Amino acid sequence: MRCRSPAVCLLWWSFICPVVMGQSTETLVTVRGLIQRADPRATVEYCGAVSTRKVDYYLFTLERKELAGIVLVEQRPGTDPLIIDADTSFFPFRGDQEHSVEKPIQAAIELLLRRRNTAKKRRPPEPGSKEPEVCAIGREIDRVVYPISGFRLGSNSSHEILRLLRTGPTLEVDPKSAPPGSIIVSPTQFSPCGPIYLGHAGVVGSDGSIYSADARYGGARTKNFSLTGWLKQFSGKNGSFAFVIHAPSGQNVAGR
Amino acid sequence: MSLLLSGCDDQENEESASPGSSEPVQSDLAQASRIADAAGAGAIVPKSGGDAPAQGSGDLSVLGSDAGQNQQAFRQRYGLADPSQDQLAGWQEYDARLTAYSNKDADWPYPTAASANWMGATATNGDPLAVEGTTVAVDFNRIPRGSLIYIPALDMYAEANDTGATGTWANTDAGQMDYGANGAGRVDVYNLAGDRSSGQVEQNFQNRVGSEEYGQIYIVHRGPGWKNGGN
Repeated sequence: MRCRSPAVCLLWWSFICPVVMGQSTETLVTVRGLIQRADPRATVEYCGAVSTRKVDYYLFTLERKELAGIVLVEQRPGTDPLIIDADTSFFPFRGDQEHSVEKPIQAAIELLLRRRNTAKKRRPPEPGSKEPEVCAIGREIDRVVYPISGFRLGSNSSHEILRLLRTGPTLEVDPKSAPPGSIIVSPTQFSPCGPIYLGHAGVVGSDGSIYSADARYGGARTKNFSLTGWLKQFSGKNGSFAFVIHAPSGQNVAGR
Repeated sequence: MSLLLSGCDDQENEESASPGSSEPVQSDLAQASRIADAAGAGAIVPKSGGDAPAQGSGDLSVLGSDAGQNQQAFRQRYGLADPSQDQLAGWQEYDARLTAYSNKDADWPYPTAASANWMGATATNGDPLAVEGTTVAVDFNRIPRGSLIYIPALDMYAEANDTGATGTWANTDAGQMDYGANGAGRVDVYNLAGDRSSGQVEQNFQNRVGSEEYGQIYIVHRGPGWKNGGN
């Protein structure tokens, strides 16, 4: 096999020789403890680590009830591990300096998540699904919204969904009185030493319930929340934002 | 940069509102209405779980033929209604492993450290009788004796007046979520077996609450004070 880049070579090599990795079991236990304390009620799954000469990165997934997300921990020699990013998805990777990691690290994270998902799946992935994803909040909103409005999120990241809604053809409305058909999003919040509050996003249905991807059902759209219940769960820690998508130009009020 | 990787555990239109407008216009709302209808189409509607337990079903027959009646009588006596979202938000929620025990179990009757049940009924040995539909056995180290709990998966209030193999549970469940930082331990729900075997009772119960048994419970009131209006 010929390697196209040194990074790819090392990634390939690491699958064969995981025992030579620098992370000790003790460090992994410490890092895992940090994540469990950051969200005590979540199920924590270790997905793997990426090492550079100066920094080790540890990747975990979190699941708690309908919520799912990813956490990235940075460990520098002689310092305590720190949570440097947490969200429902890292894709597309954020461009801001505070949360960004270098491109090869991003590629490695994607690889670890693909590998994790492949190992977990009992069935072939659905067409169009993004294999490195652990959460489907954007996908489920797109399935509902895109065929009607032509507006597509294309991301399962709660932060990216909020950004796209704020910059897209939408009108922000008061979440407490969001009309049926609104998209509601509560972005993930975290601190470097915890806690982590996983975010979520969904669509307000005709009955006032919120329909959103549920990790317990493989990300299928599920009626889990009343609007009041959503606001109780998310508004305090995450913040809640609601948007109505503008109808495309020329669309008949009565529908197509 | 060198990397090492290690393995894991297993357009707006004229009618649309302009930026800054606070109200969606008619065409936006019409589109939103279609989106709302589409959101519910084909969606999963869980029987329980999420933030809204299935309320008022009243069907506890899986616990024994009189379990539903007992639950209703229990609710009436202590003024318990289906919990509102506000109430749920105010109660302490814990992870728990929901298991079943019955009068057909090999260790029945087993002397326990049980306390008086809400009906005041006692067995000949002085132990209180378990009441299907309202009695659960818990680890008293996790849930104080006599506490009032609510089990969303069953839409059931129960009094924690019986206790089980507490030490064994703590050992066998160590590392599982019911004995984690937010764990209430096992909640062993009493069943009157009737014509069923002990194994059938457990199977019926598991089918009702889910094959993995793990769920959430709320502690409505710690200790027995709720019986005296302490709730």
